[in-house]
Amino acid sequence: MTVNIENLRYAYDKKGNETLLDIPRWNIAKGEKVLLHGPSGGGKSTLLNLISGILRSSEGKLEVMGERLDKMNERERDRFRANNVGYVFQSFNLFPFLNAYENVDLSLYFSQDAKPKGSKQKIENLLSELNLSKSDCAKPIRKLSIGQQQRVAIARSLIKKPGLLIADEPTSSLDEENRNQFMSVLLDLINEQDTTLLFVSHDLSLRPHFNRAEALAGINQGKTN
Amino acid sequence: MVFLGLAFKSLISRRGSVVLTCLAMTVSIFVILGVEHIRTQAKESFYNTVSGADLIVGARTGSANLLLYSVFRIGSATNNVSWESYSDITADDRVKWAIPISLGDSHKGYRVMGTTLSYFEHYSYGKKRNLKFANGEPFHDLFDVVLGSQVAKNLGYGIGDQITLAHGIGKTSFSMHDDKPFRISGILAPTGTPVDQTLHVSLQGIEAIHLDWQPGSRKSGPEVNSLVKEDLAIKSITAFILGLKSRMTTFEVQREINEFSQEPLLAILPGVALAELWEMINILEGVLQLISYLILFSALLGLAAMLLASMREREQEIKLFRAIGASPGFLFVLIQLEALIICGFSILIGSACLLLCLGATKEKLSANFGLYVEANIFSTNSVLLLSFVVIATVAVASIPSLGAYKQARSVT
Ligand SMILES: Nc1ncnc2c1ncn2[C@@H]1O[C@H](COP(=O)(O)OP(=O)(O)OP(=O)(O)O)[C@@H](O)[C@H]1O
Ligand SMILES: [Mg+2]
Repeated sequence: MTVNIENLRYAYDKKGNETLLDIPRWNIAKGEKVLLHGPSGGGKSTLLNLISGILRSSEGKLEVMGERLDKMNERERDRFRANNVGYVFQSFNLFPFLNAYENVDLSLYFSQDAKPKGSKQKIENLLSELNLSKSDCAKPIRKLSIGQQQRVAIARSLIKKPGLLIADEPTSSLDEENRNQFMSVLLDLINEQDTTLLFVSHDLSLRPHFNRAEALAGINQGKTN
Repeated sequence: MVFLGLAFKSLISRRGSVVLTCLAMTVSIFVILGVEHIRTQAKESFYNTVSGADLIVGARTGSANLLLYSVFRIGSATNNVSWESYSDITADDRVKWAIPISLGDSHKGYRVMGTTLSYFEHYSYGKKRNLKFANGEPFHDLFDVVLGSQVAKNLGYGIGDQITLAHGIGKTSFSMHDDKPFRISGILAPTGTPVDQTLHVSLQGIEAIHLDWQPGSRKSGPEVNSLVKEDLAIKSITAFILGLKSRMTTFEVQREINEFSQEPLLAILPGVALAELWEMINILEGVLQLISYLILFSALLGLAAMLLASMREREQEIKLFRAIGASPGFLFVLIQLEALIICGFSILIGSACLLLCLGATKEKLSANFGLYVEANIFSTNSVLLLSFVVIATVAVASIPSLGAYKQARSVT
């Protein structure tokens, strides 16, 4: 089991009684690819932040890859995320002041205490596998196309071979061609690395790529507006 | 290393505002170091001008004035001291040594001072350091002159050269005593005091150049070569410095000189007079210091404002940092590091500029203001001051750093 949720509750406003998320039970099996959808403001991003350990809930059980995130302190959760969870956003996936190679390298820095030998080769291989030329990788990020940037983001999030990849609407700003290319390189790598995928999108046409599609409203009993 | 690289690259990506902030910091560090350096150096060179002397005696005037013209060679005496009074006072049993000083002549803008060999033996400066000869020896002949180190260096004179001395102290003197050339017999080692700017001749030498001199006219006097030291009677001197056998008698002798019946005289304790004079300059010193601290403060505020403004653009960056596993502490340190890099560069550039400026103006400061400033700005004082700047930077930068930390903790 990669994600195991029991009676998880979360509210931004701790004093008020508006609980944004209240999930009695939800599981994602290892290697499963799940599409999560739902209305804007429903709490999808919030749920992703809980599962990655950026946010913490004090109520209920949240187990990710066999570790109880709700029992960890902040430092432990940061460490856990650096080692086990990859993250791709809709935009701003890369530091604009670093080039593609450096962006990927930096994410590796947080995941290990000491950098393993041969990581340079690994990064270069992965980037070329994602159709990014050597010269593109040395360019400032803003000189890359949106599609190229999202592919670098895939490399950045998968270089450390995380057990779980979280993607928060990564295709929303891509056109159809780029979206298809994005999905195919992402899924190739996911399958190759046997990574579990939790993917948020409004775009239900992506459904065929996934084992399962889930509406947040279906699992969440929390109050939404 | 990763931290440093990140901070650097992030700063470079915002180079416009970073360079401006850096400039503001550089200017403030330049000013604060410069003021502090010149202040301490001026004070030190001021207090070190004369040491080991128990009393300075001159015609009755203000004590600051007496100190200024006798020691700093600034301004001039209103009245002279007669040779009889000098002889009477120095004949006293309690007096160990005396250095007569006769001023009023110049050579190319440098003051000429008449004195005796006692000067080379007893005059001391700094921590009781005596005068040393870099070259040559004291004046033995009537027309011998001993140069201060700066005079020799700036005018390019060497031992044996012949020079003429002028009456009056202006740079362009109309009445050159060019019928009586002096020969350079010695050059003193540098002292960092007004001695370096002075030409020293015997008291008789001063009398000799004045022998036939009348305001506005020049008669031909006796042949230069026929003049002998012993023929010249000294009528008056400008001031004199006394060393006493026992410190205990200082106040007693001072009172007696101040009540001297033959002519109105003033005796001052150099230490006390120096302190009084410094007090007068001190007000300016405090104001300068205050201004330099205010400049630093405003530069630091500018730094904080720049970093804080950048935080808005960097909200996304913080979110990304968190997603790839950076802790809020990492972000705190990163912002601090950016501030420290700016501070470090400013310190480097600011002190380099100051070093260059001091190196370039050193001579001018000593020639025009009698201010002896070393170019080496790295004293314990300046290191302390720079550490203060660094600590202040950390303190001010913690506003945006804490902001980043808090934002990192509440990121969604
Ligand atoms: N840091 C925060 N503090 C307080 N409230 C927040 C915070 N972040 C989000 N919210 C609120 O929580 C609710 C859920 O937000 P969330 O971003 O999880 O929605 P979402 O489902 O991802 O929406 P979208 O599809 O538009 O991305 C919203 O009402 C939002 O205003
Ligand atoms: Mg969202």
